[in-house]
Amino acid sequence: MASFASPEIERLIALLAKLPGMGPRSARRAALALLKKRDQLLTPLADALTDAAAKVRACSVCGALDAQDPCAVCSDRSRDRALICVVEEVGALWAMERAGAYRGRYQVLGGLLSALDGVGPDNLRIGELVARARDGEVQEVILALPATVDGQTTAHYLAERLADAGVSVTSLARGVPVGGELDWLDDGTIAQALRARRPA
Amino acid sequence: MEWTDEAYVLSARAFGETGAIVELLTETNGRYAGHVAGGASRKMKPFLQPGARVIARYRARTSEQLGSVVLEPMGEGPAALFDDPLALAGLSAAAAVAAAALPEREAHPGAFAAFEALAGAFAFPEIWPAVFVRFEAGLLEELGFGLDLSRCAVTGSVDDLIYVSPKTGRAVSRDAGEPYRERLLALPPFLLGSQGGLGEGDVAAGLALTGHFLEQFVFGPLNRPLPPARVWLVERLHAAERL
Repeated sequence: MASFASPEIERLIALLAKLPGMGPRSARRAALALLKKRDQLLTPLADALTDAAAKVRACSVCGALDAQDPCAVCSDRSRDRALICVVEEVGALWAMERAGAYRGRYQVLGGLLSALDGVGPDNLRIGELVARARDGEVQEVILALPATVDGQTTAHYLAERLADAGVSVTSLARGVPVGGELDWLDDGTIAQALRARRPA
Repeated sequence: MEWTDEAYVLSARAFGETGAIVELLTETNGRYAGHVAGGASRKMKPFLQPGARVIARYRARTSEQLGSVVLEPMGEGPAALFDDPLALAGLSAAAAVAAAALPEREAHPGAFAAFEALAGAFAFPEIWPAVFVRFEAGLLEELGFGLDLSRCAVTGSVDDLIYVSPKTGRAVSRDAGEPYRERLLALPPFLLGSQGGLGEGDVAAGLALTGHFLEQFVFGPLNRPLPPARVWLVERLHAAERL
């Protein structure tokens, strides 16, 4: 099909279409919206992208993304330095922060051990985690990893690696989610919840 | 083309933002891959895990194309093993070996039965490593490379079979194998029958035996090494002093 847009616009559309949640059609709409609202959207977005590309880096301590190094969480003196929460990716860290229930620090692994995909311990930030756990300040490492075969395999591996680090290693509970109705839960979740029942 | 079958999930990979490509070991249709619409959803993720038992409804316009598959979970699945690191490693290894060894779209009911027996055995920590060895021996048999442990390849004797020839996969008796013992593979008694018992070093010998023939007959010709999950399993069993 012949293109009616200039190469610049086509390039913008092609790049937008690569973003999560976007296809060619929605990318075209987004590009049009950006071009129509040049001052309110296009220029600020371009500036924000340039800023992010120039400044945002992985934190040298925990692996989270931030414009400062160490990141805001690692630099925050009010955080509980005796706690480290281990998460798979930055998205999980943001989810924990949204919940507002945790005031310790984090370690972002950058993935999970996966025999299928050939991801081994050397491909993840496991050495850094073990070094941090041994620094004397940390008392507990919380494994907040997915309840999947790879997630739990990784959790067990980490528990083994941390066994002689002198820290307590815990993991998140598994069971009925808030708002979850038993009728809609899968068998695995119900069985896990039943095994982890506690006095009412 | 359309079928409905019981199956075990061997692997699942994200496809696009919402779907997944799942690899199944079915009871009557063999190893099959299919697209699961909505496979990235919170509802489906719990059973898109290696070792999950499902009822699969497969549909494709032509037999050549990758069809779509609708899955319905059966039972708790791999979540039952989440607290047992060795069993998780065993499950991953079994799924990886089956996925890598079995040809696609070729009926292997024996492989399904062997996987089913192994999946049931994971609840028994003392015996599942031996069942894993029998699972691999069963896979070899399904693929046409079965071990012949019925009699000694040299003398025809059915007694005192303690070696296996690394070239032919045939059993060798103690007396006949003595001069070549360095070159022969050890045959653990539990592979000769359920009355064989399980002694120290038997699982290690069994894993070495099936690993050798999987490498020689199945993965070697494909220019592939043993799946990493299988290598990790042996390392973990060794570290846990279970070999």
